[in-house]
Amino acid sequence: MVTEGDEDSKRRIRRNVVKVSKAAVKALVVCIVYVILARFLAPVSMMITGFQEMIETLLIVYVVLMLIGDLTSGTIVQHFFNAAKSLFVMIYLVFTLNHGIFEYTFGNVNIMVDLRLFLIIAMLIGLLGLAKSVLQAIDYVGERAELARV
Amino acid sequence: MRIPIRIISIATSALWAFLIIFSALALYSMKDFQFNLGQPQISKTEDSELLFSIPVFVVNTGFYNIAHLNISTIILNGKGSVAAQAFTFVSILGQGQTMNLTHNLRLNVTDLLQTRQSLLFNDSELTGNIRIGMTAAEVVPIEASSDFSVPWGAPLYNLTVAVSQFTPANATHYQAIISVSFENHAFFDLTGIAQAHVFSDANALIDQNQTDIYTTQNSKYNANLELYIPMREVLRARFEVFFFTPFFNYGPLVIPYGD
Repeated sequence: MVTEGDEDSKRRIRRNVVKVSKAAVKALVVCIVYVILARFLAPVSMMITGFQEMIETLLIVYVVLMLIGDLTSGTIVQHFFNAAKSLFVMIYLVFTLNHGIFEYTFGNVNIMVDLRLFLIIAMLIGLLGLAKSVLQAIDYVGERAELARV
Repeated sequence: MRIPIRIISIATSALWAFLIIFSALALYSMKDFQFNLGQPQISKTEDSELLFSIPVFVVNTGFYNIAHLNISTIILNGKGSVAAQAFTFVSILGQGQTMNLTHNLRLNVTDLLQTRQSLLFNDSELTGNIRIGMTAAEVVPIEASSDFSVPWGAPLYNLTVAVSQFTPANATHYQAIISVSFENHAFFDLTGIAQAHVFSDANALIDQNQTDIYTTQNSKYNANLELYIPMREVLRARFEVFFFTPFFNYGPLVIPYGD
């Protein structure tokens, strides 16, 4: 005979398995995208020391925050991690890209790449992501309040 | 609330994907951009300026167009100011396009030698700077700059002017021979006139003579200028030598003679 408590724990386990699988698939997809993009960025990585490390650090922190966010889905914590992810990307890009002006010396040649437009667009998308997280958090709190009222 | 959140979510993902793919392809495309500078050709303009014609070969086999390709060069005179500058601009270099350009740099040798007279006699090096700017994929400005040096060869290297002979020519006059020699190390052929004057003690012109100069690059020039001086003036005389060329005028070089 199956009790209601067993059903509940089964459902919880199933939900957690789904969460972990979803997070694992997402992480795998990000890693595959990175491997593909790394091939395109290889010439730049060869020229600019530290470029690959910069991308990898961004990717690792992003994936970790994304995994925690997915594992804590269904709770308010998820939205904090999603907001943290957006904020981290914005702050990291501002500092690593030297406010959009990227300078490098290669032998006696000085190379300057003006990435300000890229940075502005990335900031706007980051803000959009942050806004989404805030809206999700508001929606979540609203839903909880409604459930509590019912 | 769910629908706007979903829309924002889709829009954010799509924009990130677009930005990342576009940036990666734009950077990857730069590997297929070739820029080669050829050996400069040197010629003389009608205004007696030196024209350095630098062939530039540009190939863009990347994924995107390259806009605002500009090449600017400056050569400094060694005293902090610009001796020559040039600018070449291409508004757009299409994808898969190859372009042969000529970057023309005009150097006003007259001005340069007036500013630094030592360059007439001493081999040296002129420093300069080249800047290549472009807008990759028509949105990412990139600029590369480098300093360079141009060897400068002195047109009157090892200049020697001397009274090599002073002998009686006849009963009333002495014959003075002024020998002039130098090596033309400049990257242009030197043409012009070497002129010698002799003045008396009272500053009166006694005699003058001139000879043509024609020396090709890296060749020696030797000439003798004959002057005749009345014997009564011989006690104290002063020789002056001048050089007149399309690029510069130099003189007088004064050689005192007598007590």
